[in-house]
Amino acid sequence: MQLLVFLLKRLGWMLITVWVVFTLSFFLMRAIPGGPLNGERVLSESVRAQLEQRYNLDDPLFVQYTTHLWNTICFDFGPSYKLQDFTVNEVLAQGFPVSAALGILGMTFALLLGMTAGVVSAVCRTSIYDFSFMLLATLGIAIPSFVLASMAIVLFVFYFQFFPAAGWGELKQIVLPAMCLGAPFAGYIARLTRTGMLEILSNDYIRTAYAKGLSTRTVILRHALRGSILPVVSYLGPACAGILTGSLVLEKIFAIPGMGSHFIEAALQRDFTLGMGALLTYTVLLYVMNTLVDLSYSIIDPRVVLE
Amino acid sequence: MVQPILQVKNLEVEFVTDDGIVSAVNDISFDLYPGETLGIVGESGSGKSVTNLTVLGLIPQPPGRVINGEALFGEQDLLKLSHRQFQTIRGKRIAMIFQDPMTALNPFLTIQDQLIEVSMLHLGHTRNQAIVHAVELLELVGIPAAASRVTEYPHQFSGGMRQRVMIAMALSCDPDILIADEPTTALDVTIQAQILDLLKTMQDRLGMAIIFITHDLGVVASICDRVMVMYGGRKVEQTDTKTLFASARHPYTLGLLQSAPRWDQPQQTRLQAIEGQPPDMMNLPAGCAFAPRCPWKTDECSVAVPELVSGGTASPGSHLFACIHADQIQQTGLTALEELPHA
Repeated sequence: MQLLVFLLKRLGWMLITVWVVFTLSFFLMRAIPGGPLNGERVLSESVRAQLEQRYNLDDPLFVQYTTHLWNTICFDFGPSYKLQDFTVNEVLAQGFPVSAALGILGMTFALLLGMTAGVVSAVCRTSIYDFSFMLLATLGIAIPSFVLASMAIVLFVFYFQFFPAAGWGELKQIVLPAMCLGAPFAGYIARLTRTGMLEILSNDYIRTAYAKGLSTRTVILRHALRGSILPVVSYLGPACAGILTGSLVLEKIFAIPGMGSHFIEAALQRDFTLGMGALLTYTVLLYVMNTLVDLSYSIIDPRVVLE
Repeated sequence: MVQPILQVKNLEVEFVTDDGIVSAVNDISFDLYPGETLGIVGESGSGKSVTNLTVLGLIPQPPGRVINGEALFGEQDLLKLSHRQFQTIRGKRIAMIFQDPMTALNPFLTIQDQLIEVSMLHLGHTRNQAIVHAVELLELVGIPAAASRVTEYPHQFSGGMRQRVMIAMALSCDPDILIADEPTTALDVTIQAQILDLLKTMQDRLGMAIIFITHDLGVVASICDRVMVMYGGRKVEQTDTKTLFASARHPYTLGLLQSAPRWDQPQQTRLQAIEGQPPDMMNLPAGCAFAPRCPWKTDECSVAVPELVSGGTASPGSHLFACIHADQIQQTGLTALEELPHA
């Protein structure tokens, strides 16, 4: 019951958030110079007028706003201005699963590697493992993804020939971009887990657990891990946003037909409808992720009450 | 003669810190007999907790370091056990309860989860047996509606109730020794009395020996059979409770006794605090560590660390104290201290 109220409340807030994002981006997009019909080829007056009529660009701004808003409420983002013969819905339906697959794989990789490294570093702190893991984590955070991707391609594609250089469709093709995408997040998560674990390990109840005769393994896994992943959990919300925007570059490098390239293209070419579609998808996704983070907080820590 | 269940001999523990070496425990020896309650008294930093944590292998190493000594538990020297061997003793034969029940229980796990893991580990219970056992224990330590409360989390319990849960946890494998590290310090006075009563009842029923660490002499008077007083990481006096209150011989013990309120003195009587500060454990003064604060101090005090001497009237070794002026103190220092504060 408490959960239902919480979810309904969150849903209400989400609708408001989406509306605000819609309104702001609608006017911002139209405030920047240029429009969808600007290009290298100068259009004649009549062609231009016809095109503007077709895409409702000749209506007053407020009418454009209300029609677009209404269509969006009906989940119809309209035709793409630049990708002819495609509606925005089609483009998103094609690109989103690809980006999502890449993101989920990258995040899974980041969580597995980061948390393992963090726990090991905390338990064996100031050991050689600790130093090397934390050095790697710092490198992972510091190296930009395009540099990392280029190095990975040189190493794993040309030198070892483990993976194909680019493309999409096979598992082999997704591994390299997912790892490059997850690397900086793995670094952050490792540091967060290490800090969280060290803090938890200094608690009295860890001493109690040892005093019960439990093995170090049980103490770490059963008594310490739960509390120490709380910082990681709260980082997951923003991390998901990061992994989405971070994937733009990697999708370019590895020629992956995800949403990222469409998002950039839409912004550069003033493809208002596609840009809006991508933006709102990201907004909803972020909101859902943050809600899930809050939910898992209350599952992990019994003292947290949902409100 | 009854064999002691635990013999600590010449224990020395130090901590290596960035600022220098802290010698926390210096040459501590004591025996614990089955079924008795030994009180360890001293102010913060006197090494009383470290002594017991060392016996259970719970001081972090590093920075902690055991330099010398042994802790004989039966035939075994606890200080030489491996991690794995220790796991069969901790929680099963020697259990411990801690000062602050608010932080000593894991806030992320239910009371049940924290109770059953002990008996599942040491007694080989199945999960269901362990749950039944846990509920029995909670009833034993006086938690009302134990069967329904067992699935709750620590934050749903009050401080006193949590300490009862800690006691239930410590007693779940019927240990030979219970180390109670200031178990009542964080509780208010009425709850303190309840917890002390509970510990006494449990001891009568289960027959374990208790090491009771405290700085509250009232608690000592009500629960301990024998008392060891520590100062600056050393044992300065050891005797039975009655003798301690009747004829303490070390000036530090006297200072402690005079600074505690007594019901048999008029309310207007001022409590006498011990002058000065506890010693800096990183560089203890030469000779007697208490000398800088001692009213009986002479130049001789700073020459050498005073030996523990036996002044027992009943049997040799029943009253040990480490002060070269003990004879003088016996004649002059006891005028105000004829009776036990808690008769």
